[in-house]
Amino acid sequence: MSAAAMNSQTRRERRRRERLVERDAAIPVELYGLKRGTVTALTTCCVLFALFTLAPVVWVIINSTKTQSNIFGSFGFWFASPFEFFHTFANLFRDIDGDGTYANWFLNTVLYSLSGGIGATVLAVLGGYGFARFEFRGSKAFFAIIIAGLLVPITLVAVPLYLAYAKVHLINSVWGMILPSMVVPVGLYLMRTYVELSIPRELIDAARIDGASELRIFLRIALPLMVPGLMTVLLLSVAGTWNNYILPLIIFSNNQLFPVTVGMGLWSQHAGNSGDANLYPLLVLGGLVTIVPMIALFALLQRYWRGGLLLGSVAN
Amino acid sequence: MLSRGSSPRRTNRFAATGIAGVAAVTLLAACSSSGGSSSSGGGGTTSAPASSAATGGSASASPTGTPVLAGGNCSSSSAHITFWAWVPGMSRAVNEFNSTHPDVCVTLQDPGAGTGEYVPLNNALKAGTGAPDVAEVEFDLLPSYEIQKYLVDLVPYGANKYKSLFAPWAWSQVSQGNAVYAMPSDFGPMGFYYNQQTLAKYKITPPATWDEFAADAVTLHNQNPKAYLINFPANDPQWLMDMMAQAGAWPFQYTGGANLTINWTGPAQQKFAAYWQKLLDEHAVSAIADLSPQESTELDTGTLGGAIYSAWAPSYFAPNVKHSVGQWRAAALPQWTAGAKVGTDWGGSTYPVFSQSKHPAQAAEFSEWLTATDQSWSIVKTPPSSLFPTYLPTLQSSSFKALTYPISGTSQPNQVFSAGALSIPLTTWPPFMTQVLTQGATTFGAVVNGKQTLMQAFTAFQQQETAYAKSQGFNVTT
Repeated sequence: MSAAAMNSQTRRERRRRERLVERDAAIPVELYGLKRGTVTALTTCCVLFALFTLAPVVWVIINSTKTQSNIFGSFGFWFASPFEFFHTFANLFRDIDGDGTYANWFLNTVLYSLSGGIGATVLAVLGGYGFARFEFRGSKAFFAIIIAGLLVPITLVAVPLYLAYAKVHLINSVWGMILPSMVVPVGLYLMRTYVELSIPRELIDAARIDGASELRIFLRIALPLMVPGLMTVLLLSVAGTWNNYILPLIIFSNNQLFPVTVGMGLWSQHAGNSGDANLYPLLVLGGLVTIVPMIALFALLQRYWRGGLLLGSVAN
Repeated sequence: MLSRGSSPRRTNRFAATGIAGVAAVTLLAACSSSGGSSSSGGGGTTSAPASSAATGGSASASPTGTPVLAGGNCSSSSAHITFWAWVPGMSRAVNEFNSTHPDVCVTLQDPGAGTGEYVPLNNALKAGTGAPDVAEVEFDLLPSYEIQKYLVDLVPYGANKYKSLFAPWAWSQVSQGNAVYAMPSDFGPMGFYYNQQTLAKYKITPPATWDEFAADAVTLHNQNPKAYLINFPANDPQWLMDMMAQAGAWPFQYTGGANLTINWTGPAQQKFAAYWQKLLDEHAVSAIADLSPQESTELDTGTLGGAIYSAWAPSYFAPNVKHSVGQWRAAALPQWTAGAKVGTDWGGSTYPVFSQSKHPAQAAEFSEWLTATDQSWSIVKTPPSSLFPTYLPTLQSSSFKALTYPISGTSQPNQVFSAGALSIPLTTWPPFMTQVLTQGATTFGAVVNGKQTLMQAFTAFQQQETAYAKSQGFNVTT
């Protein structure tokens, strides 16, 4: 038996043991003071809700393999031949009818989300730390103004925004998409709260007494402690830009610059309208491809999120 | 292609309401100013904006600073024209134009169909920058852009010499006084499109008059309570208004300026409403969304015997046909007066040049080439564009009339639609069609649900539209 195989066997063994320990440690439901019937009812509700939420995803996965006529003509929750997944997938890389290429839109979405999300996180971390740990003249007012930004829906300012953008040549420019995506008031609010709860003032004061510069305190002491909160903000801001529809819809008329949301919105208009194009399979598969990176991102980053919640609530 | 817009417009309109709502606000200002200038007679000069007049002569000075566009193989000295359209397959015509006109370089962009295009277009026009040189605008929306003085009069660029090449209805739509504000492209003469096997099963022949039509609808439904002769999509205001035009019950009169007639409650309108309400009451027609997957399925499976369709509608329907391939036929519309030959139009598009254009001469040249040359029509009449021409040399050519399509077997539906193309009553659209279509879909939706009669809905709509027009500063007569 090779070392690798042995290794994996012991690892599996260890995991099994851990799971047993976990099960023994789990608190029996009776101890929560809930009756078994109540638990069953609540569980049923949860299962139904999970089904309700997952059914559309399952539908998308199944129907991404179908032809247009089968999408409408066959049973929605089972497969139908011919299996068209790869053919449709190849079409995602082709320019359909001069509207642009899905692959191109996808890369645009990645660019906008990553640069906007990272930028938003940097600003939120800096701003949140500043507002949480520094008192300066007008800090409360500034913070209130930033939070007020939460209350203005973008649809309300769509036309003023467009007119302002036109003045500074941000229409049909990637910067017109990236710069506003870097401003996420919720992120700043979250970071401020997080810093207040997870970085004791005493810690910073101690560092100051030891002669550390403010920059050093921020980078070496505060920042590592802020990572769980930072990941949450990163996740939220990347997902927010990933799903943004209204802003790119307003500022882009050049199909080459569309993100996936606007590009697929265009396809869905055409799919309902021009009978000659087979756009529904592309819409279904395109939707599936679009959600995969978000699911992956959540799966990867959610442990930070959980860590963050624990850090705030449990005293070690 | 108009009504490729009609269906997307309806679905999209609601998604974009938040943004589109703002477009209406400016009408008031624009209207009051146009009210003043149009009193001078609506001559050709009223609409020629200073910018186009100033730059009209210097074509080749190409300004820099435009966003980077996929310009293809255009040379840097050519005039750059940005063109917005949502007709599928339009890039073929653009490429043909670019390869035969080295001094002009057209870049096609497709920001969206119907409202999907109008919203960014309105934004850019309002901002004074970022608008395309040429864009697809449906016939019914054209007056909305005229009144705001966003369009270039094409007469100085030779548009009038094409007048005789177009169906009279189409040319009347794009001209106002002495000015021509767009080049017409496609349209949709309407007819009765039916499955001949389904109708034969119920021993029905295409009705010549609306009285016969009503009798046939009842006959069919009595024989099979699950089936209907046609669907009555009351919640599609475009379809409804186009049918009213054929009945001599057109509800709007508008020829520019601040005066507007709205009449949904006159004798002709009420007669029209009563006719259809009777069929609805007898359940002799169904009432579902038109051009919807449901309608297509019901047509294909024989639940619906036919449809009051436009010339372009079969190209929407065809991809959904599985069972009834080859069984479809076109017949002229039933008539309100026996022996008459009155048609009507559903949808269609025009290609205006916008006053922001830095190269109006080249933009006009492109628009005229696109709509008024055999070269262009040889491309855009074929799938996936499948445009039905307002351009008479193509419309009346025997090869176009003789075209056959798989779903209609060996029959030649264009014979019927082409004949109907020349007998369309003239119609004038109010300069706020976006609002009419949105409000209409809501108001007439109540008819489909059976909550109101069509007469009640017409009366309600009369009040809604009058109130809206007045709020926008129009002098309304009924």
